[in-house]
Amino acid sequence: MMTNRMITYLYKLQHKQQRWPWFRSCYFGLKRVSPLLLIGILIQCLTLSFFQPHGFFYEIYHLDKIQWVSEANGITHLLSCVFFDVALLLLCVLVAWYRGYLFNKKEAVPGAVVALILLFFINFHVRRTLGDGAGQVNLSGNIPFIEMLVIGLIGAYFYHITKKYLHLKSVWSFSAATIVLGSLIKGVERLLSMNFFSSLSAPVFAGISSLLNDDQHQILGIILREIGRNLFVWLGFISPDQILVAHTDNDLTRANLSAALIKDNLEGLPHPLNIYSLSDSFAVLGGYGQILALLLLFLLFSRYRTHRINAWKNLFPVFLNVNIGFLAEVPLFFNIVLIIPFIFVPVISILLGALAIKIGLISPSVYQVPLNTPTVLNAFMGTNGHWNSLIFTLTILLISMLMYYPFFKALEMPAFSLTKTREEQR
Amino acid sequence: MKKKFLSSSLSILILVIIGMTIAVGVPAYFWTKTHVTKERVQNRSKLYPVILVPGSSATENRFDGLISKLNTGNKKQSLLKITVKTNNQLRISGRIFPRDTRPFIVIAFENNHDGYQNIQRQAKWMSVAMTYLTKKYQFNHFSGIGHSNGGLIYTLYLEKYMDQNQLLLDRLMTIGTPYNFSETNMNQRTNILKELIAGKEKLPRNLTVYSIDGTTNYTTDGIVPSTSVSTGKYIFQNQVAQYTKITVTGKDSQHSDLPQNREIIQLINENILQTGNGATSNITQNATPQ
Repeated sequence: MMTNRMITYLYKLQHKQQRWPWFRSCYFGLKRVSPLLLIGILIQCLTLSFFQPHGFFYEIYHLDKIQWVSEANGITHLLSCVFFDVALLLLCVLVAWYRGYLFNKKEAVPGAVVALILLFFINFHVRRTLGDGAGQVNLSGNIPFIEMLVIGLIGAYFYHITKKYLHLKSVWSFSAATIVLGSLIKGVERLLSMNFFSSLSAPVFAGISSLLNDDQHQILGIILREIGRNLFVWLGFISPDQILVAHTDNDLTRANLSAALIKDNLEGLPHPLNIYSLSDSFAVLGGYGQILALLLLFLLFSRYRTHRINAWKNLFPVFLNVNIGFLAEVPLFFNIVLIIPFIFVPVISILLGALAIKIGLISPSVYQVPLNTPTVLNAFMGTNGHWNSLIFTLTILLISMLMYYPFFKALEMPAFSLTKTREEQR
Repeated sequence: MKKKFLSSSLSILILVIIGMTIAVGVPAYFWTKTHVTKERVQNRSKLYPVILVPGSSATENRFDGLISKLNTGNKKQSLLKITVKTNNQLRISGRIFPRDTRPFIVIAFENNHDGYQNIQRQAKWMSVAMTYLTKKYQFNHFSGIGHSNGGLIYTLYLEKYMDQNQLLLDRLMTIGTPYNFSETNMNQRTNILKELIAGKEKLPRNLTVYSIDGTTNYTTDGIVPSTSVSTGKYIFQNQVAQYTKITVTGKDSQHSDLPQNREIIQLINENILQTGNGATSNITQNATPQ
């Protein structure tokens, strides 16, 4: 009863949110570029796990013995960058196009052109080197989604407002106005010596990360960091090429590793509760926000074939913790229904992990794992193959699925009602 | 309809999980095992000393006879002697040869008197010497031999002072150690035995302990009652990885002669110096003073 009420409430919230034109434009763009993103991500998974030294499959299959692997590494990395670039570029254009379309059909294309000019203007960097050219456009897959969405929206709104209130009509006048706007944004950025989108999350993380070296407030620091990071991801402060890296170089993790290697066991370690044994082992199953749980729900319980197919397509990258494609596919960004589980499911997993370590149910992860190791295996491999750690990780995954379930139901509802209405109309 | 979706997705998912377990889980498991073993070996310091602690009234020269007998033939392991003064200062003699990975280090005490309080102090002084040694020679594992009360000092040091996260004692041999002082009745536990039993959980789990008992008759080695040595089982048994009690009789089985006993020297050679990693025989034979 309570769950049903909550699902209905969430559905209403989502329904309200979907009326916002800017929100619809963002989702239109994300949905359209998600296949391109997925290709880029699959190539990136190949690079990270198979071709890169210390990658997961590279290590467990001993691929270092194959000569062409190192050459393939460079090629696939380049390819994934190309796909990410094109996807980001398209995202910006599509958002502007759709927002312009919602204003007026005639505003769709000019809005997209304005957004494109702005995008190039903002990302145009002058690098004075002796032999090299003077300028370059920097779009290497490391631009956060939020930047693309905002630039796309600014483009559409700017065109709409200038047309409506300044009565600009010629192409030249629009171009000039766009360049003035771009110069203004660039000038403010230069004045504040920061990039609005890339530099915003960094100071927050630096502040939270400083807590991680304090053994007294370890759990608090880890939880704050998890909440902060997932909130930023939810807001789109994440780029397609961003990957999760386990904190094996943390001071506390290193002290644990050294102790475990000396003692040959995992008992009485100096810092059992740390970011590696908690967050990296139990809070990022399938990448940010414990997203493997949501993917499995779509895969098992979605009533729509397309949703299930999308979940299957994203299973491999999500298993390898690269979940950006799935986040764009759902979409997760600004999704009012998903913010609660996306932030709190990992926190609850961290607390459960801490409790299990504290009461001795499982041992903390200590040993180093290869890069891009599926987080489902992190605790298992980090404890030198303790089976109870693997069972506990799977239990955490199951609990996460249960916690995601009401929100997943709310996500499924609008699509269901839409299909129902169509059927009734027929 | 819904059930049909679920069953088809579930059956595919089960197949994927089985496939993943075979293709990913099994190689990952074996990689982890190999990697951790390799890391453990790499993490061990090359220097792997044998640290000897004499009993009460004995000086730093107590083990000279034993060490000269161990250093026979081509084997020449270096000897460093440390005496800890009552003001925590160290008097050091001898040296560790540059290429010797298995030197002998003797830790003796200026106040070498018998008694519960003195043994407590000597355990603390041992920790002073160990801090100096680990800092200076940068080793993280060692083996130990304690004669008489030296075994008590060793056990107290392990329970109260050794940081198991920094240091590993893999093998300990106590020779004629009176875990229950001179008490012959095993049910009458003295203060030292009570304290050692109370702190036994702090002993390293992977430690192998050999407790050697010498008897000139059926009950004693002349000083330490056989039953007192046997009470060591209440401290080590079911606590460390392995606890073995060995009784030596015949020639040189009197308490003070035990370190020179042929059988015990053989036991030290077999169980303490032969570590199974080849460090002893291969490296120390070529060690020469420089």
